[in-house]
Amino acid sequence: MATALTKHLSPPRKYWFKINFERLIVLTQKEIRSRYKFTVLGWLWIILTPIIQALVISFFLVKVIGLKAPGTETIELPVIILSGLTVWNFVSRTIIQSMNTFIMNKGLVKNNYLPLFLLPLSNTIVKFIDFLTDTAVVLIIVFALQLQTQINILALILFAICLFIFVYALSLFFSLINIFVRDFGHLISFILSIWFWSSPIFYPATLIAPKLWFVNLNPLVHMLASFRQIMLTNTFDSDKLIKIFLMSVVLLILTNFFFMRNQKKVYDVE
Amino acid sequence: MSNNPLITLNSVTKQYLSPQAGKGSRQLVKALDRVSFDIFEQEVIGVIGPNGCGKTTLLRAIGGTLDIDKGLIKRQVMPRTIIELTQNLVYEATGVQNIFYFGAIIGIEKREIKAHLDSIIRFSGLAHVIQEPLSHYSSGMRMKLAYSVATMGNPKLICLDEIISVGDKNFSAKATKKFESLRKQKCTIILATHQLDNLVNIATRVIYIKNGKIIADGCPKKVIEQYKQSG
Repeated sequence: MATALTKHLSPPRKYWFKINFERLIVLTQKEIRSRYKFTVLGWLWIILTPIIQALVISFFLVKVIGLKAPGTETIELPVIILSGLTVWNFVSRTIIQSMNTFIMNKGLVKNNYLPLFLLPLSNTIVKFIDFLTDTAVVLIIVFALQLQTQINILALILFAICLFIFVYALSLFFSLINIFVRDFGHLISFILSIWFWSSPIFYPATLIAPKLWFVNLNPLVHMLASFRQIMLTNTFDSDKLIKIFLMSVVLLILTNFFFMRNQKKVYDVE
Repeated sequence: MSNNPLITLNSVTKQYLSPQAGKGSRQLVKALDRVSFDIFEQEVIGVIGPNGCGKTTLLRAIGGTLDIDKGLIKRQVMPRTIIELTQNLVYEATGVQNIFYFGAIIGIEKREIKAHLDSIIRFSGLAHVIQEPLSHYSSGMRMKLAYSVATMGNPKLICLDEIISVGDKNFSAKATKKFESLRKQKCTIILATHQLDNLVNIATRVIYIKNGKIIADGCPKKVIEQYKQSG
């Protein structure tokens, strides 16, 4: 049987990058606006949320329960947990948001021709802004507790870039997968729950038993270790950072390939 | 008028799974069935047919937002496709913010939107509420704003779904005038509509679609007559 010819041939658009950059900005603004609509404090919540989270964790875990991680000072625990949550919140919230992005915006994508990757990308940017403010709060705590007197900004920027690529790659995949299999929307909470407890978020990576070698296959283990190293010791393992970068780029290439091959299914979303 | 088509559709087919009336099952329905035609510069093409015949699907295929099953669509220009006007608005943003948002979404550069901002606001007749959030607007006001943005500037090719004139009597007259000026600017227009009387006067060509198939394509008067006779 001959293969049917199915093709859209479009002209190369002048100013493609500029027009789509401007689209990305308005989509990102729309996301942020809709998140804080009808709130009294509006955009201030971006800063308030991590501060409140930090206060609650510090108060209950350290003051009330007196929890202490082996080999660390009690004072370090809130920073260990908060830095873990900072990375985890960025990953998990972006995935959850991306799962529904094409369903929530079906009117937009069905009626307007625009590169579809802009939607998961704008989701990732919005959550990345949260990640940056959360990181700033953790840094303030690090300095306030005098755990550090200075921070390696370059290492932090490099880490943030790697993490952004990793999360955007996941966002591309999860934004489409929910269109093919709607059950994924229900399954994701279990998947995230397993991922959360198998990652050293509420505990330092040193607590993982050496015989559990497979845990090291979890990319978050390495990302959390790198992030905490930068935040708590002002040092970084450049080899580890390069490995994280390469892993993120490979993941992006794979998910981008999957996205580009299947993105047209978005137009049939009900 | 150039001899090279702006857009060529070659045997375009699209099938949907549609629920069967009175049954729980779904059946495959052809929304477009081997549709082929060319769109040339400066044409005003009316697309007519009964409800559910595939008019909107055809506009979406032309606009690039349809996953076609078979066929080829070749475009020299990307059309500005306006299907559901108010779907593109953000209710928690102000009128001005929506002008920039909707303009960017339909692919207009920010500097061009800035250059047309005053004329868009004037045309919409919403200057007194333009800094208010859209949630404070009536549905008619939202339509006016969206129409003003959708038709701004100098589009080369525009696809409109059931939109020639919107809003109250005054705005409707302005919108019809705007439509005329788009024609004079040598803009190619594809218009899916049920307003047959209007179409005879404005279209240079009419395509009649039924069950996803092109039944007739040609002189507006003849094609509209054929459609009316088919009941």
